[in-house]
Amino acid sequence: MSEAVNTNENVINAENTAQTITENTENTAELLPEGAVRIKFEKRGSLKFISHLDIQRTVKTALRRAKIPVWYSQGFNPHPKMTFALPLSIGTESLCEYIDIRLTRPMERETLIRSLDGALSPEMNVLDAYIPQSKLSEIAWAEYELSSPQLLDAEVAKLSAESIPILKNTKNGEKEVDIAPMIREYKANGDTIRVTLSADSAHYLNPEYVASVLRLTDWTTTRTAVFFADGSEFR
Amino acid sequence: MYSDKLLKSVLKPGRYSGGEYAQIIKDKNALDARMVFCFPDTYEIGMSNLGVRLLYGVLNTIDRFWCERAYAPWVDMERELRAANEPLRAHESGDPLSVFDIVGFTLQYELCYTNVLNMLELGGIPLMAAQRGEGDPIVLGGGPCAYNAEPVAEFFDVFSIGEGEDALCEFARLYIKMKTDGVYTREKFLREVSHLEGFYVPSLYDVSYNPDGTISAFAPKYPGVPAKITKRIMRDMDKAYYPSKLVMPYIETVHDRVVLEVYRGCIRGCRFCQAGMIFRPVREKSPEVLDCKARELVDASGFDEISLSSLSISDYSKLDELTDRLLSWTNAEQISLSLPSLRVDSFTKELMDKISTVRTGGLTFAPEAGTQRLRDAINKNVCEDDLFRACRVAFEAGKSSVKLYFMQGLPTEQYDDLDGIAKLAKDVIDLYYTVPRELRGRSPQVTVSVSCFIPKPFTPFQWEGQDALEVLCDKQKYLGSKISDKKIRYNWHEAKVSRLEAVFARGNRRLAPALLEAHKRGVRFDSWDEFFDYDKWMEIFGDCGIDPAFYANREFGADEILPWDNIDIGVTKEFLRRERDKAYEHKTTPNCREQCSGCGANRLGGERTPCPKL
Repeated sequence: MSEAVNTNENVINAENTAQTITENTENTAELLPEGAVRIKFEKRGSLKFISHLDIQRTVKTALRRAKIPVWYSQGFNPHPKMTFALPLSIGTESLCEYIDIRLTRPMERETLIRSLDGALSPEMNVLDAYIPQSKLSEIAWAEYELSSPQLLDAEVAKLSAESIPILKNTKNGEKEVDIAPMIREYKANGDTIRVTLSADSAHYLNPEYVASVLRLTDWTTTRTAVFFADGSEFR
Repeated sequence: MYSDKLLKSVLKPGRYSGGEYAQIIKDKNALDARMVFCFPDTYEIGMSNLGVRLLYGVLNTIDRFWCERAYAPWVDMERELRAANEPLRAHESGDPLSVFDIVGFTLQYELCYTNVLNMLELGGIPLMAAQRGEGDPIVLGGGPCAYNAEPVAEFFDVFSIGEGEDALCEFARLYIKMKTDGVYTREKFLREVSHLEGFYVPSLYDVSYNPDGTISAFAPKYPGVPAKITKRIMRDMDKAYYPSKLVMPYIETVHDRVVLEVYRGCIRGCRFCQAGMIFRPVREKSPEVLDCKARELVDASGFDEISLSSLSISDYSKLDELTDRLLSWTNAEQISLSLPSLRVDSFTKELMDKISTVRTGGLTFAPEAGTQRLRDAINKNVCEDDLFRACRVAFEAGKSSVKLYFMQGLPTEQYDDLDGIAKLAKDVIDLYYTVPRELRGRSPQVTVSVSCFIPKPFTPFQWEGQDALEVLCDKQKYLGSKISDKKIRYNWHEAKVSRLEAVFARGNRRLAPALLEAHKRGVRFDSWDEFFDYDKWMEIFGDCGIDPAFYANREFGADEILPWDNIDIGVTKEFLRRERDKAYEHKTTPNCREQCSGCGANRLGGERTPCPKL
């Protein structure tokens, strides 16, 4: 193991590597090979007001700050290959955002997490990095927590209706859509409600529509988890 | 902090939500004083400003002192703030502007003045300096417009004149010392500040006027207060503070790139150019210092572009060495270099090959005037051959579009000078067709972009009247009629905007009531086309009994006391007079490297400068 560590240090040349290794014992030497890596991060606080596109640009510069050897598209204006999972609407926090990148050299997992985390603001935390065994497009459901002092039981009960018609903004103007089949489950508790909503690309339901069904005008939303079609947690 | 509800109701909440990577956060309970540095325009413009980055960084090196940032809220945010009765807040702590000890504004252009007043009001700070009491912040101004800050003098407690890195730190330390010693009062502090080099406290001066509205006397009210304030400069640019980290905006700003300031000042001395005079003397940084800083900033920011910044980058004496050093690592890391300012006489094939903006985009040159006579009069020392040679280099490399900047309404301008602009553009098109077919790109495009001359303080043309609005408009139309070629695109600058800019550029304290009235009538974002309202301004001037022509169009008397005469920029009034006389004789002045013309700025000292030592 110590041999492998030495090689890593040479490759990565990160300041904290040596320290990391003495602090932790088992997992730290885990090496992410060249190729696809999935990064899980959370986005909280003031970052909820930063759009999906701007988060992409932020991650691009952060990868450079962190000196992570990512694969760049070739051509005149090269840019790092990054794939983001579900976009998050402005105003929403998240505990479970995913990006896929490609490493051009092996990198120690812990170093990648630490250096990328250090290159992001304190409200954006890197939680995990691993070799993906699934496609980001396999995300089928997303769970959100909506909090508001305006939350009323009578309104929550509406979510149990057979059909919940709403006016949805689409590219071709407003359209009436029944969102009942897009709500898998919900659980209200005091000022908060957790709802699991359809998140596949064809039937993505923005939690704002649920907030409007619940007649909320002042509320916060956090994406808390994402799932495969069978209901197991996405990874 | 602003509430979620507030931020959800505006178009771009990322302008106000803060939380950027590398913002500076300090413990509020371990401070002696707090400052907020305000940029009176949008976040996107403010975040791209080099001066703000420099001063934010350097002020935060002071122990127990925290400098935060604030920007002008866009109109949607302002509406929400007013509706919710919420104050304008600083970015880092989210505290209202009124709780700060020092509220600083950078004055980059005259048309931001109404935004300054708006930010003060939204921040809960009395607008007039005279209305502020012991509990209110000290309102400090600086930047290029502070060289003639008279139109806004009554709204500011103090101005910092010249380069702020050292000066503002001294200012902050004085504030801290007087506070911690328990001797601070507004009055005592401002009097003390007036003794610091480069600070102008307008309330300590009396201005009186002649019956014709010109100034009859301008004098300190108290002994010991300096009659003239000499601007501050950083003498050794290699030793001047430069940030090692950049606050990284999340939203896209005007310039998302590393800006490397290569030198200050300009060797040229174009007679209309204020920057060319107020930033004298020329002081360069060493290539090795710049290269080192570039490396550090690229690593700390993750940006993939470095822009070399200065008034005329190709005049940097070590440009080759610098670009070679940078290219030795930037190419491999896919980092591009860009140059914002090129002169035709120093534009070469070698330079073009090094610079990626040139490789990808079009080229921009600024001949400024259409005839050699007028170019000589304004001391723009370039000739047609330089322009043609530069265009040929570009065309032979497969470029097909060139942008040419001109100014109209320049002193001594005749209609044949305008004909000259049209002819020059046509000649560039003709030149394109003399380039061998196999080398050149697709069909050529020349964009002629014409702005209006604005007489600016501290230039040889500071005494000149601006052409009347009708004349400016007529000249724009005339030039348009002379350009018929479809390969030439003609853009011109709104003359009404330039006129208002001229009013405030050469204004005095008597303009304050108009600014106050404009603010009351909801005027702001004057530099934005969608909000600029010339007729409203004329109405305001009329209601306040102010004649805008007195400031914009009148030729100032040679012996008249100018509103900015109390400021010493190093360059002497005698030099400016001499240059003005030479303009009328169509005589040029050599650049500072060829021969010293004795402008006087070398009195201020400076390292790595072409100026003779005293």
